[in-house]
Amino acid sequence: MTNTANGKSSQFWHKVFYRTVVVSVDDKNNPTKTIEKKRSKALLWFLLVAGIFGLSFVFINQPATIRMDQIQAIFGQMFTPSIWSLKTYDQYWAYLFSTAIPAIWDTIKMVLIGTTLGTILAFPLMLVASRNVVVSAYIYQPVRFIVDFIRTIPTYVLAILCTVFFGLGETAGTWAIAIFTLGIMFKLMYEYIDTCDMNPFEASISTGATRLKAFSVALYPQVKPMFFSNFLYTFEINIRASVILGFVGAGGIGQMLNNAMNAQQYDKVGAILIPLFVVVVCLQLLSSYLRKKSL
Amino acid sequence: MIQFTDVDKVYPNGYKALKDINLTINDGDFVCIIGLSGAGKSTLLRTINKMHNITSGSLVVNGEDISKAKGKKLREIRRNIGMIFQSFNLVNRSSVFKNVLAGRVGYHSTFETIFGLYTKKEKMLALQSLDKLGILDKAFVRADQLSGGQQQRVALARALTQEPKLILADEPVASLDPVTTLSVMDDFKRINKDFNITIVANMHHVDLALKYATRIIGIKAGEIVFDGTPDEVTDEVTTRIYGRALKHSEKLGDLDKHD
Amino acid sequence: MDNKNKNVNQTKALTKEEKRQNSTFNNILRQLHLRGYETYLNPDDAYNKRPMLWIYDVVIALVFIGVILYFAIDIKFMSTATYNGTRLGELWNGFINPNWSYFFGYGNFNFNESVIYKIIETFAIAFIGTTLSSIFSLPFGFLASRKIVGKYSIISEFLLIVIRTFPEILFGLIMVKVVGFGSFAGICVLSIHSIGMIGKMYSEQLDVINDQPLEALDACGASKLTRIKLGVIPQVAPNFLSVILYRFDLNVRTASLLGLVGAGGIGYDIWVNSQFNTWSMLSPLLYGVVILIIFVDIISGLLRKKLI
Repeated sequence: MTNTANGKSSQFWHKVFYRTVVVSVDDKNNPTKTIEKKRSKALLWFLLVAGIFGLSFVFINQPATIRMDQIQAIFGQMFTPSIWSLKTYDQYWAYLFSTAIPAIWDTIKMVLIGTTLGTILAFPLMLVASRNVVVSAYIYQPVRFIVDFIRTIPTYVLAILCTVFFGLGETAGTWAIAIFTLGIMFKLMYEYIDTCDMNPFEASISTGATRLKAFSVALYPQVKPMFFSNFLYTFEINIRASVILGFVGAGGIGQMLNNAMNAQQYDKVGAILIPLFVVVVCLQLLSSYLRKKSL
Repeated sequence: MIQFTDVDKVYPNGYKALKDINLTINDGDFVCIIGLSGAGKSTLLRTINKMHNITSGSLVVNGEDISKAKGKKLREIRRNIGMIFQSFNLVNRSSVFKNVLAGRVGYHSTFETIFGLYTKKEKMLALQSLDKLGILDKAFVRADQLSGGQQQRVALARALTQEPKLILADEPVASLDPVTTLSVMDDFKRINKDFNITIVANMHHVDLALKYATRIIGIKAGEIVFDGTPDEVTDEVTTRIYGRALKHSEKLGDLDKHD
Repeated sequence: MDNKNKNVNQTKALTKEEKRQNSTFNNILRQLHLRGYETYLNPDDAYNKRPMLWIYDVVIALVFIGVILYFAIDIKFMSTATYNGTRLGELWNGFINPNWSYFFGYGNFNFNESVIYKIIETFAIAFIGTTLSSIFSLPFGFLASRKIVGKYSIISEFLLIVIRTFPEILFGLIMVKVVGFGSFAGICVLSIHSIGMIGKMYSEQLDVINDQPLEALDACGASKLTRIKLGVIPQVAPNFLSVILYRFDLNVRTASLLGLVGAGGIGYDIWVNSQFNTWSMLSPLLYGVVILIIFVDIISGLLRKKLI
């Protein structure tokens, strides 16, 4: 393993990277047989991570005071009506059913439309970007690059840009969700199409079909279950993202949450969180169930 | 020494896996258990180190009643019994050395094994076991990068590192090619003779069993139907065990003509 | 005597089953679907009696479109839009002429206020948060895996779901009230929220491990903890690292998001500048964010490829 041409320096490096392990000893503890072992790099990686960890603290400010009583105050008040906003349990339930649940329902509607819009826009793009369907690299690489670039813009930035363009309100939120969905569905679907079985596709083309027709006959049945499962997955992500949209002013329950938090009406916050929680958990269970079934 | 006395194993749904087993295995024996698949070979083997429980009777291994042992006592008994599996059962992403050293876990407390505090002697012992089986140069390679025969040798080294009095082997050569099969069986024979370790092995191939064992046990439907030396195995015996005599094409062929 | 009763019951059950099979609804379904399972005598027959499965697709699509249109009209989709062309022009101007002194931190701006500092701060929040949460979610992940703990995994699973679905922005607002403005609040939020995500992924990895090495360790005389350390951890360690890197990628975005509510990082400035319409200050921030995310994407992708 060592190059004897360079003598001392290669011996030094050899010692750094390998170490000898004793296999057996004779009576006087002299090693009779040894074997070499590469030193493990785990220590180096650990030091690197610890170093970056410590360095990061330089950039973090120290907290002035830590008010743990606030936690108890906030979380304690979330599920009981307080005297400053909703005064009784009856009013709490009334708020829950008359304001919170319809608001969530509106948000679900907005998210559904946004997701569908984004999926429809993504559909032709995902065909163009898959290496199997469109063989020429000059076409699919730029498309992938552009949409990947759009995907790196965080959700809330998209939302803010949409409010700039469309004004505040739900239209901005719907378009923000649409663009966001376009990015996610695009990436998930073109990666999946790349791994599909291409044999029926080639068979169709050899009988003279156009690429589009061959896709709809041969690939679409394979792609369809994955399509719907990804749609559901993206839908669930978008419901969670809709809270953020509301904070930015693009519609949805985020606005209500923001107002309630600023007014310190934590029971309203709790009342809004309950149906949100229920909806998200149901969606998660539904989507994991459908994924298991389709696979 | 292993002593079965009136051992039964009955599953909750009434199925009798082992019936009235009365068996004594002496130190230094090389025992091969043969029989149809599903006849109870694996169950019998696994009751010896309490991987499966017995429902009645007594089972004494190395002077201890293993059916009543639990917890720390069970671990102390098990560290003297090595086990070899058909699918090698190595930790694939660890190195060969770590796999072999895992044989010594019974000799340390949980704390010591979690932090890898083995003594230097044990580490040397692990490497020496690898050396005895001829794969010392692969000591620090990842375990799944070895061939099947080498992986089974690593499992054998792990069993040897335990410094056991008894080695149990559950179809050890079933997933190996014919040439490697013979060299692994030779290793078993060498361990049995040189270190005086009792070996109890399940075998599919009857003529491998006949060639290497000093004692053959035949099992059919949970009962022992034959117990004797390989010379006593005639066609009539194999009919009793397998239902019919073995045809010539089902034997492995000229086993003596190999290096 | 028993046999006779059995026969009578069987015939009763048969007729009930037959009735169900021959109801009108099932007949219609059979027209569309089960026709394909009949035996065909000749090609024309096969063509005429082929199953018309496309009807299912069309019906579902029509229902879906109907629902969408109803929703769209219901929330007045387009009417709240106020297209503002001039604003777009200003925005474009801002993108072409970013404020470089703000970006690099010279001139009118301290280094502490520059975009680059804020990007590093966001990275730092994400790094610390992910590291802390990857360590703290180890117990949660192990306790939530059915293979390790058995039936009791459902407690930890439920806890993880609760932590996961709590909106992180809300949590950010709460933490800002508890520990004040700044990046410390961001670290707290990110650590706790990530426990939910990373814990769930840990438990998924733990549910698909290979049982066989554990069996061999059991036969050698290992206790349960020893089996976990020697058998489970070497199998799942690379997968865990891959999960952590993936999560780090997403956490960088969440860290910038938390800035919106004042929990530190680049989000706050984006929010402020977009409110005050100072586009030339907004664009360096956006460039910074995009560069950071692309950088983290590439590094995390490279490291994950090495792990496999």
